[in-house]
Amino acid sequence: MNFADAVRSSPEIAECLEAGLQALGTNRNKIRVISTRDLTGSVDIDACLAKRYPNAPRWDYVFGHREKVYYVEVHQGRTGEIDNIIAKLRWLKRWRKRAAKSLEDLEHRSTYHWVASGSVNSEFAKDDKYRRKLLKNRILGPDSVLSVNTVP
Amino acid sequence: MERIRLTSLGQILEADICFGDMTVFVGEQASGKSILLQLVKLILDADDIARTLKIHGFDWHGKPDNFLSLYFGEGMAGIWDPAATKITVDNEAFELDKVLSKKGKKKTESLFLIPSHRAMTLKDGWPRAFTDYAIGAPYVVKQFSEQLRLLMEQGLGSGEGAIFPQTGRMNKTIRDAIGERIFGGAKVKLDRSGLRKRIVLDVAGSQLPFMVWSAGQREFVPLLMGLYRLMPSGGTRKKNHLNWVVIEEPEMGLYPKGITVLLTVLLDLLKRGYKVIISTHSSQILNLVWATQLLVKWHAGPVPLLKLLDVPATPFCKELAKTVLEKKRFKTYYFSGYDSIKDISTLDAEDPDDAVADFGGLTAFSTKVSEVLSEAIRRGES
Repeated sequence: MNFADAVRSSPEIAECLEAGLQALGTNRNKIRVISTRDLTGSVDIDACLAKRYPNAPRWDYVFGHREKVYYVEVHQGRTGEIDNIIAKLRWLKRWRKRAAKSLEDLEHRSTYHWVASGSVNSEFAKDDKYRRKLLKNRILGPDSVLSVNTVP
Repeated sequence: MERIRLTSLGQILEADICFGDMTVFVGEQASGKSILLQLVKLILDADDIARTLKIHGFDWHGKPDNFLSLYFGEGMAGIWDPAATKITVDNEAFELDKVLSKKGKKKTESLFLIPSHRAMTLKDGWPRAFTDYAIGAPYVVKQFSEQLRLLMEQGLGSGEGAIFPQTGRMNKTIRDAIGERIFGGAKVKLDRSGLRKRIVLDVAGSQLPFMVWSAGQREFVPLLMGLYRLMPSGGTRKKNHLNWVVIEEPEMGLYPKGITVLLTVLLDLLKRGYKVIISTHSSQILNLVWATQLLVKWHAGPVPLLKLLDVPATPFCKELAKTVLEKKRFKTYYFSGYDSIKDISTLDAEDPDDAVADFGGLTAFSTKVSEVLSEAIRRGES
């Protein structure tokens, strides 16, 4: 199943699927894609689920590019936000397991990205526990821009 | 031997150590790491230690206290309190007096220990003999030194070739990496031109004596000679009777690039079938352990591990990474010096216990840097 079909078969977000990166609004400029024609759609998860789960730590966006799925959280690039990002990821995975099984089935083609809403603070030392916390949860970033074509 | 439990040995209040294929000890200075490593040697090789001491003319007159001074070093007998010290090995009590008075067939050495004092074993470029040391020097230093001396006596480097690099010793990829990143292209040679043989570094034809080597090279050459004992020439996988290797602070004096080579060497020892125990102050070593554990969990292939080790994807290296990821398991213990020894094997950055999350304190400073700078940014001080 491709990304767009996986979204369409997930009732809670099916209506929120938009073309290209449109669901990201102004945050589109934080994503660098060379081959925009390979984008397969996007969803503003946060806005789409706000009414249904008003108090949940909702993840921001997901979009598809070629066969891959990119989950993006636009958030302050500070060490103190790491636990919030991890909490959002955990919520996302729990929600997906329950309400978006088709997206969960694409896990082997999915990556998770923390994109800094401002600049990334240089406080992220390379071998400290904070960076290891992110890596353990398979979260890439924080980066000021997500370059899709360089993601392995 | 799979497990050692002990109460009250030196500064160690309590320990329960289950060994992995590679076991790593981290912790503060004088927290008992070295004592525990020597204890492991004593447990496995008591027969050989007693025999070696006698061969060299030492006698403890049947008194365990004297034996402990000869073994752990002068003034160290007090670490073992007969009333309080209790040691259990795989559910059997280890009682020193009984072990020392045991009759019958004696076991050969099964553990090779490379001590932290290794640089001082190469006095003036030649390994010192067992009896050249003061009576109060720890046994493991004297014995390691003697083993290096015997290696030289058996003719290491006496032919046309160098002591390092030496074709047939170690895999070529590892040999080349050591040559480039630790010796900077220099060769380790036996110099026979003077009145006494000595080991020198040959740098573009100039013979550099031991005292002018870099600190890292002075530490690494005896370690390398120890590795030669564990990695025999002629394609032999391992030394038959040796099953365990202990290396104290293998990273000593090395620049991170050199430590990366060392990591490959340690994994090669595992692949050869040795069980390896090391003590370390290097976060690089624990980063490798942590990353390898995650790669195992993620069912990753060998490529990421090869990238970490900075080695090419040769058949040897791929097989090395595959063996480590599929078959070898790691254990890590933290020695605080005032508490029980703690199993921190998960090295989980999310663990609320900083001893686990900060690799037994090895990454605590960089964590603190992040915290302090974050705080400065929040307060608008940046």
